[in-house]
Amino acid sequence: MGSLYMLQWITILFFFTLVIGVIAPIGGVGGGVLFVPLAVAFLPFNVDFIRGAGLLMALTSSLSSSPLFVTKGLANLRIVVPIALVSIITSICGSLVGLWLTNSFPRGDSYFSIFLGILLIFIFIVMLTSRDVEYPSERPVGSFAAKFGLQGGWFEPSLNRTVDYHAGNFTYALLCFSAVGFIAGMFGLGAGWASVPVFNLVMGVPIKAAVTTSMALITLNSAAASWVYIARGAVLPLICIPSVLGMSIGARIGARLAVKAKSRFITGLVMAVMLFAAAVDIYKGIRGVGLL
Amino acid sequence: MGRDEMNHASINQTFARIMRILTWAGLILLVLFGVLYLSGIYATYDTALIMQHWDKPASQFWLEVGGEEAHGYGWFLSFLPSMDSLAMTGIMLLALTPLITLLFVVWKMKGLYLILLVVLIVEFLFSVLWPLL
Repeated sequence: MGSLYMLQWITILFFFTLVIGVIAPIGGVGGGVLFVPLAVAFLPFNVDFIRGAGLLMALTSSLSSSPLFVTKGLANLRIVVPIALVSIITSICGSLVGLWLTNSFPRGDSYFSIFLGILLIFIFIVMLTSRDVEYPSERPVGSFAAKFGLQGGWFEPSLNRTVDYHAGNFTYALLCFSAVGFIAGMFGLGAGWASVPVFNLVMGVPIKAAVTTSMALITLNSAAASWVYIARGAVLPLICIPSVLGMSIGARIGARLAVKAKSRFITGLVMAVMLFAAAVDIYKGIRGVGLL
Repeated sequence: MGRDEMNHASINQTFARIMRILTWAGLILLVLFGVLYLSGIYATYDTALIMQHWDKPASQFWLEVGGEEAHGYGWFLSFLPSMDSLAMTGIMLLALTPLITLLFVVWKMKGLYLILLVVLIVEFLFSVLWPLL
């Protein structure tokens, strides 16, 4: 009976993450932003283990894609390193605060559920209002940014030339990325939904380089934050193994489909699912704290 | 400070190669021992007990399943070579991959970015080692 129950949950988790893995790249989001809220809303695991698995999924997917992006010069380590100095610290802080919230308060997981729902609504608004700029105009480069020489370039086959760019607004971006790191650690998300617009719209990095550089940053943030979850026993192999497998296979299928599929409908569907998950998370949280 | 100080092709190549190798090694460990663990071969913790308590916060969960709260890495490293512990070493390797990759490229750096990378490595080491302090 126990083995059957286990097999049932392994299968559910595998297919749950497989479907998310397929849909997420077509919808233009990372898997974690769907996995964490949906799992909190509908699966029986505690939020600690869901966040641990979410971070591990963000880590494996960014580790799998970053080497190629770095080799091609698309992911800009020159920009990532000074930002990661701050965002790693805030992601560790976020993880500690997140685990403290759920482990130190009797209804901590319900409060967490409400915060997650609110965050999802915020993400929904960001996705709805922000418009990616393929080649943004150059942003002001302050003296601080000038010291780091935040510039990059890659050979763009569609233009048959090298695209060079300078990133600016470093101080504002650093503030944004400290918040992004904190949220990533606290909620167990990769947080590409936040870092891509900051690279693109605040720093003026072309969208292609923004997406890939964001992946490299997620690698560092999620790895540092995951140590907090591992040390507190919030990474359970029983949950992580089928989830990582399902997400990895699904993401590979999704990445192939994303090239062919018309993504506007799927993006709309993903956003609708996010809004629905937000409503369920908030409802579940409010019920949990006894207000309903 | 020249642009090639950080974006030098050989640094990028080393970074990508080390990261790719370690990621594959971590994933192979995770999948191989994970599948054996899920098949019911030699696990440290009773899976029925895990499923009974996985709705509880991590601290409470470990009190019920392991007899004490988890602090540090002893909750799986002490039980090697059980399959769940070996699967966890795959996860550890994945989480260590960025740090090891940075260690491979730091000696190629010069000037300001050398200092930045050393600080980044110290931060990473802190995130790994603080539970043991």
